[in-house]
Amino acid sequence: MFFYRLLACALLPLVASVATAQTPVRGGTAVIVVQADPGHLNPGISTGSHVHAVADSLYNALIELDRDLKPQPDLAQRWTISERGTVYTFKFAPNVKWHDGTPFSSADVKFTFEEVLLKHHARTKAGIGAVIASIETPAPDTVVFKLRKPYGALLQLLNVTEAPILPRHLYEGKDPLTNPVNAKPVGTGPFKLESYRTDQQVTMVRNADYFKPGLPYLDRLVFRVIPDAGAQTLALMTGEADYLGLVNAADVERLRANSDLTLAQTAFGTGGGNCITTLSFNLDRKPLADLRVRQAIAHAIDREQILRDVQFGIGRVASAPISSGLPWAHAPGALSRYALSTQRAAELLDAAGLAPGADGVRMTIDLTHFPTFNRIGEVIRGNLAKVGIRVVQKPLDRAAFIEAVFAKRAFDANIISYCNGADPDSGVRRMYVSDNIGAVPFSNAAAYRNPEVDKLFAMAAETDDYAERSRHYVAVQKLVADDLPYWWMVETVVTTAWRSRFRGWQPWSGQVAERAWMSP
Amino acid sequence: MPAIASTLRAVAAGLAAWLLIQLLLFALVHAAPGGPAAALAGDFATRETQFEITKSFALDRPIAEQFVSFIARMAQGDWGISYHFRRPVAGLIAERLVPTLLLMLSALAIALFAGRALGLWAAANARGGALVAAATTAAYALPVFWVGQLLMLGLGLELRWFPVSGLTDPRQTGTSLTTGVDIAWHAVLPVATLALQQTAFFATVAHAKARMEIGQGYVRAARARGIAEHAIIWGHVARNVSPQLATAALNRLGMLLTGAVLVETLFAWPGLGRLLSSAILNRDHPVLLGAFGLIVAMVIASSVAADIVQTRLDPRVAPDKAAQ
Repeated sequence: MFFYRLLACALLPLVASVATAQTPVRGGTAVIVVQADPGHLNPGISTGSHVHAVADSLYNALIELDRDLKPQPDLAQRWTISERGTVYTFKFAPNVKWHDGTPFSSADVKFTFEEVLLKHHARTKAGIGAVIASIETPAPDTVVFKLRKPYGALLQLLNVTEAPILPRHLYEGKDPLTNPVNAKPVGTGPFKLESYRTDQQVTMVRNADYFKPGLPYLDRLVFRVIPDAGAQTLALMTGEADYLGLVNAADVERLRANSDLTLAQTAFGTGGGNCITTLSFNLDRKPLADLRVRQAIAHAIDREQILRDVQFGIGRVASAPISSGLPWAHAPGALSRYALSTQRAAELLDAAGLAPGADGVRMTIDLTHFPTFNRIGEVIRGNLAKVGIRVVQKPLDRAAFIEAVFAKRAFDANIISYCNGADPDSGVRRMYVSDNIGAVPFSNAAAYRNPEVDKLFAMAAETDDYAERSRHYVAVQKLVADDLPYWWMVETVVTTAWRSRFRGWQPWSGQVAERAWMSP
Repeated sequence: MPAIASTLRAVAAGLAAWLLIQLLLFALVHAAPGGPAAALAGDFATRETQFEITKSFALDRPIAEQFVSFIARMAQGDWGISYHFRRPVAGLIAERLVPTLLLMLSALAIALFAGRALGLWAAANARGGALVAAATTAAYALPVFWVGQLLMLGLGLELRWFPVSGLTDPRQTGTSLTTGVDIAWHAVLPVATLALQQTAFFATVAHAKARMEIGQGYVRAARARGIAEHAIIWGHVARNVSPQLATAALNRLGMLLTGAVLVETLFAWPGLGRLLSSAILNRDHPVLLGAFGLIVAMVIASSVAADIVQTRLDPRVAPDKAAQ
C-alpha cells in the first residue's frame, strides 16, 4: 500500500507535466498515410478526395472551418455582409505571399473563381456558380462578392476544399487542366512542395514566410501512399507512419490495444463528412416505382445488423434523411415509423400485388454498388430474401458504377455513401432536387421529383437565418420520409488513429496540418 | 544457318502475337464500362465537364479512327499522355520499371538458387525428398498476399527487423549511397514474399528433373566408377538440371509479374504492377495500353528466348530436328 502511494507521489508530477505539455513545439516530420496517389496537386480543378487530402495543405482559401464547421479567418481576416445578404466584402490579412515570393492580391481571388473554380470545380460551379453575379476588386486587399440572391451557405463554401485560391501569375492565359504547375504547385499555404514521387509520397516543407505568425509547427509533412488497408495499419503500428485517417473497422480493436496510439471517431474523413450509407431506388423502374414496395424494403432491412456485423458497431442507424452531424438541420425520429418487421413488409408486398411464386420469390432486383459495400449488400440480400425479394448483387468499380447508375440509369437499386458535408445545401440538396437528375455522378440517383421539395431547398438556401433554414430542412425530411426515394441505412463514423505524440491535426478542415505538431 | 532461320521465325511469330494482343487489348479497354471521363471528372461533375474531358482526349471520335491513330503513334514511338497523371506514358513506365525489375529479378535469382539447391538435395535424400516435396507443394499453394501479410506481422511488426512499406524511409532525404541501402532494406520483405512461391516452383522442377537424371545410365556409370554420391549430384546431375531451370525461369516471367502486382500493392512498392492496377481503376487508356504492351512484349520475348536458349543448351529439342 505504502509502495503504491510512493509510486503515485513519484508519478504525479509526471502526469502533471504531461497534462501541461500541450504547448506546441516547432520541428519534426509527420508522415500521413493516404490511400491513393493524388495524380496532380491542383485542388481547384477537382473535387477528388485524393487530390484534396494532399494538395489543400499547399493552399489557402478565404475562410477556414473550425471544429464546429463555423467560418474562421484564413486569407480573409474579416468580412462584412450587406443587410440583404447579397454583398460580401472580404479584407485580407497583410503580407500574404505566394511560395515563389510574389505578393498575393485580390486579383488572384477574382481570377481563381472566374477562370478555374466556377469552370472546373464541380461542386463550387454548381453551388456558388449559380448565385454569383460578380466579383469585384476595389483594392489589392479587398474583394467583393455580389450575389443574385441571398445564399446562406456561402461562407462555409469558401473553405480550401471548395474554393482554394490559385496564383494568377502562373495560371493566367493557360489551360488550368494541363498546366505543368499542377505538378509543381505554388500556393500561399502553410507548406511548400519539396517533391512529388508518384505512388510513393508527396513531401512538403514548412513555409517559413507563412502569413500566420508562428505557424506551421512541423518542419516537414509527408503524405505516404499505401494502398492496402492492412499494410496501412501495420505502417502506423511500426511507426513508419504517424497518422491514418481511415482505420479499417476490423482493425480498430487491435489498434486500441496499442498504447502508443490514440484513436478517435469523427464524422469527417478525407472522402467527405457526415456520410450516410444509403440505398437508392430507381423510381423510373417497376416495381420499385411503387411506394409500397419501397416501404416494404425499408421495413425488411435490418439496419442494426448492418451496423453490428459490417461496421463493427461503429456509427449509428440513421434516424432521419439528414445526418445527426448537422444537428440544426437533422429531424430526429423522421424514420421511426419504418420499424423492422418482416410481417409488415410482407403485407405491403401483398398489397402491391407481388405474390410469392412457387419458390417463394415475389420479385428479383439488382443491387449495384462499389466492391467496398459487398458485405452491406450481403446483409440486404439476406434480409430481403426473408420477404421473398431476390437480390442480385452487382459490384462495380467507380468508373463503371458512374456509367451504370448515372449515365445509363441501368439499375434497380444501388448503395451510395452520401456525404452531407458541412451544409445541407451542398451535401443534401443534390440528392433530391429534380434539376440534378441524370449524368451528374453521386447526385439524384433515385430520379426523385417533388416540386415542393425543390421549393423548400431553394428557400432554405436563400436565407442565412438558421432557424428558418432549419424549418425548411425539417419539412423536406418529412416529405422525403413519406416518399422514400432512398432508404437511409447507417450514419458512418470514420475511425482515425495516430501516434500519440502527434498532435493538433484538424481532420474537419482541408487545412489539416496547419497547427499539427510533434511532441518531443 | 537453320538455327538463324528458326530464330527469325520465332521472333516474327512473337511480333505477330504481340500485335494481335495489342489489338485485343485495345478492344477490351474500350469495351470496359465507364470511360475515362467518369473516372477523371471527380464526384458531382456535370455532364458538360465530362463531355469536355471526353473531347479533350479525342474519345468522342469513332473507335476505328482512335485505333488507327493509336497504332500510328505507337509505330512512331509515341506512347501518349496519361489521362490521370497528365504526363508522358513512356516516362511514367520507365520510372516504374526499375522498382519492378529490382523486385522481380532479385526474387528470381534467389528462387533459382534456393530452388535448385533444394530440389537437388531432395533428389539425393529419399526421406528428405518427401519432406521437401510436401513443403514445396504447400509453399506453392500459399497465396502471395497471405505470405506477405505474415512476413509483415512477424518480421516487420513483432521483430521490427524490416520496414513494411514503400521503397524508402519516408522521413529520410539521404545521399545516393544511403538511399541505396535504404531501398535494399525496404526490398527485403517484398522480395522474400515473391521469392517464396517461386522457390517452391523451381524446387519442384529441379527435384523432378534430378530424379529423372538419377535413373540415367551416366549416373549408374559414375557410381560404378566409385565417384562420391554428392559429387555425382552436385557435379553431373546439377549440370543437366540447369537448362531445364533456365527455360522454366524464362517461361515463368508472366507468373512472376502477376505476383509482383500483388506484392507491390501489399508493400506499397511503386512499381509497374501498381501503375497498371491504378490505370485500370482510372480508365487511363494510354497507360494501360503502354504498360500492358510492354509486359506482353516482355513475356513473349522471354518465351522466344526460352525456345532459343533451350535449343542451344539441348540441341535435341530443336524444332528442325524434331521434324525429321
